[in-house]
Amino acid sequence: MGPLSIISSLPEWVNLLIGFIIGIGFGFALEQAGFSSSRKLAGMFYGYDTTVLKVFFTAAIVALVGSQFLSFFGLLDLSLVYVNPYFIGASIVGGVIMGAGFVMGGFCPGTGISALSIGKIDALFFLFGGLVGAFLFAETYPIVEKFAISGFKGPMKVDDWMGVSPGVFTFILIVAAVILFWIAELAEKKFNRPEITSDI
Amino acid sequence: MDARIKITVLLVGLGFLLAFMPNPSSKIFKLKPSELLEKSGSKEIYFSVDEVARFVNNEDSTVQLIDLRGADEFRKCNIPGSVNIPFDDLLNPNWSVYFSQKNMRTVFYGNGDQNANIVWTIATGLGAENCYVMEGGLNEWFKTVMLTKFEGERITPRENALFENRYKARDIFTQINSLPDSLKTKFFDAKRLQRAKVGWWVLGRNERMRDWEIVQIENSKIVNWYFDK
Amino acid sequence: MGKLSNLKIVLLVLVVVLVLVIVKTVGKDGFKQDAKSAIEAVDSNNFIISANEIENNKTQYLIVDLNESGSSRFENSLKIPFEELLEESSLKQLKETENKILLVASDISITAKAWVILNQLDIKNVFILSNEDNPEVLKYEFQPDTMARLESDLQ
Repeated sequence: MGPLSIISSLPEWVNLLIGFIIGIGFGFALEQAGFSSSRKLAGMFYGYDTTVLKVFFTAAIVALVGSQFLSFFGLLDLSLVYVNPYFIGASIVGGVIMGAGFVMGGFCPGTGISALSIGKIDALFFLFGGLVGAFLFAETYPIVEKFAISGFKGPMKVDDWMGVSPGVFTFILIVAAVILFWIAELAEKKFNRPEITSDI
Repeated sequence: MDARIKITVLLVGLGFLLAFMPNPSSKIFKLKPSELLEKSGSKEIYFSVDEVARFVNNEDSTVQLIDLRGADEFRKCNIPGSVNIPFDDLLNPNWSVYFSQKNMRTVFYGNGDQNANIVWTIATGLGAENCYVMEGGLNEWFKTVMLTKFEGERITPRENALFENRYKARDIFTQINSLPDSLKTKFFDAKRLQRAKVGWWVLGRNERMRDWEIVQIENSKIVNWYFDK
Repeated sequence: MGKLSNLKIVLLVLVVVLVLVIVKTVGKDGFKQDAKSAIEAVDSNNFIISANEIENNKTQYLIVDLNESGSSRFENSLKIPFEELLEESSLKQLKETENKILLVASDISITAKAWVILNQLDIKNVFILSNEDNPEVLKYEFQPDTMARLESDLQ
């Protein structure tokens, strides 16, 4: 089970089983939080519902705090955690495409699957579009390759870049999150729309 | 009270604690001081240049040589088969794979004795196993392996073996280091393939020449090695 | 105070974590320094003292002779054989001195290893004596074999 050192010697199938159970939990939490509703997701962009921001930001912070404490107590080897390499150009373009798809489709890939599992037809088409995109990217990769690998910066971390310890960075991020949530709730009041999810 | 306020206080509190905790990515010695001192006192952590020459001649795959000098010096000459980990880049996580090999003997060398011994102590302290130092460094290598000549009338079998070993390593050292840089790694790739399989192998695109590098292997020997558009 | 009592559980969790962190930090016997500091000190080259420098400011240094036997080349040097480096009495002397500590041995391998250990134990102002100006300079020049040819050149 990757970097969790207490259970590193488990057989492969147990690792996969744990992953499967965590996956079910993740999907269940997404569904229960209402993330299978594209209204809720798109609400983020219009400011009337900022649940997405709050949930994902909170999840990130909890993971950040949790992993660092586990690492401190020797239960998790953070040096084994894979850090995605950073490609400047590709990250920006990819982010724009992802964002555009998000606001148009009303789902992000994970919530799309969550919505499909409760039988939403728009999610079916959303995921189909995503697969077509993946196929097109793979087929046209030789054309975009030069751009895709440009501006390679390696596995960068924000705390290294800022020159502070990960703990200090976590603290700054938590404070930023609290302020951001507060602003988000103000926005929710300002751009309030009637709750119609249950009507449709 | 609102649950969200409780969670906020909890997270801010934990974050505040984290801000004062030591950097988890800092590398702190795993061994106890007494254990490290005991290991460092042992004479067994040293290989003589003659022993390293034998590793080179036998292409011993249980030994990895780590060259601690700067990249420029490494490019000029290095012991064949060695990996360059410049001293100041030692703790770069990219190299961690070289320090986690349990079945490999890792031999450090620099130009002299100082840096290799410092790195040995740091690597061993951080928990790397089977680390060694090439005694005397490259200066000793040049003095003993590259430049000694047998002088005398009659040679004993022991001396004969010793000098044969040195001459062989000397030849390999000179040949490999006379190759252009772009070919050195390719040469070792080819050697590795040589041991592996018979047939034609495309080693990869040569950056400078923009050609495909192709080798043909038969009976564990490279019979053809050329570049193709 | 009403608000604070509502936060009781949260504060309790925080206190428990704090205690655990303190126990873990204090209870650890041994090295606490980041190995990076050793690399940086070597890189900036401010851990080597040449023999000339010593002659001029002998009084500034506590000279520690790590050789097992034999008389030291420095008078008034403190004799601590390498194996006894970490014994209480030796460490006490090293920690308490106000002078800079200069490690001396017949072989730079010994001083180099001892230096790393003391550096990582956070003993400040430890230096090693270098007999040569810089031991990490290659004294030889590699002579390439000018007869070597690529196979492609031969064809």
